[in-house]
Amino acid sequence: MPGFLANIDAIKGKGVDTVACISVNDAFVMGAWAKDQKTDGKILMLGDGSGEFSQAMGLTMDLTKNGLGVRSQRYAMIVQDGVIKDLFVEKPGAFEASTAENVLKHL
Amino acid sequence: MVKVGDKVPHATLRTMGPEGPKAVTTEELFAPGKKVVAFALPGAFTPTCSAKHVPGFVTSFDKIKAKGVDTIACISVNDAFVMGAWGKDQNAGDKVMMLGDGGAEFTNAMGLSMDLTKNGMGVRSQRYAMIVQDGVIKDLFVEKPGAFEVSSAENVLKHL
Repeated sequence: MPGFLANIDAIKGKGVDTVACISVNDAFVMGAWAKDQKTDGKILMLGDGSGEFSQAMGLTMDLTKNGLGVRSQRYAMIVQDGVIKDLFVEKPGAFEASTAENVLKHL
Repeated sequence: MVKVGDKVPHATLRTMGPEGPKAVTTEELFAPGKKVVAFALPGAFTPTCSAKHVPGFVTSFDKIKAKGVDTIACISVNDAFVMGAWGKDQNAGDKVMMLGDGGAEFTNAMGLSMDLTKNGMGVRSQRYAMIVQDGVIKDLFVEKPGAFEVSSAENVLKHL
């Protein structure tokens, strides 16, 4: 999250209309998190509380044993006209491909 | 659904510790010799829960403790990270133990879940409070959908 915030101007400079953050949390939690992270409206914070989007994407992971229920995998994507142009899915526990820095390289 | 006189079912909850989420089993939480007030609600950071339910128990902390209660616990189908942040936001401090039931294991075992999938919230807990002594449910106050009366700190206090 801080990476996308820090790079928001560079990303927008590449002609990106919207930067969105999606998580299997409800809108109340996403709103509180936005405040905590001081996103200041720069990133659209979207709750996928029931996992509908994550399941439709086929990018869930089951963290029930960790007390987290079914969640989203970590990934980033570039979408143009509703079509996925790039998709960067992280390996479990990794944080490389889905960073703001890597996304920027592909814009 | 559990009823008065039942033992609290087995489940593992999680609280936010200094080093991250920490598992707390219902056997530990509701151990023999302990008197515990537990209340559950649909979601952290939601309006009724933030404005009324949690503040009521934080404010009534001294009165509840004076009745011989060892622990006041708040349970929600949220993960430990969210519960920890919410506890800070609510100034729960050491007064109310904020417990995440992220996988709804506890809530399902209690038979007190409700399906809010259509509202983008997945399966959550109904709103209720209970008084547990030696692991056995002594009082159980389950709210009607949308209501906030019987599970309030004030009502629980009357039954302690």
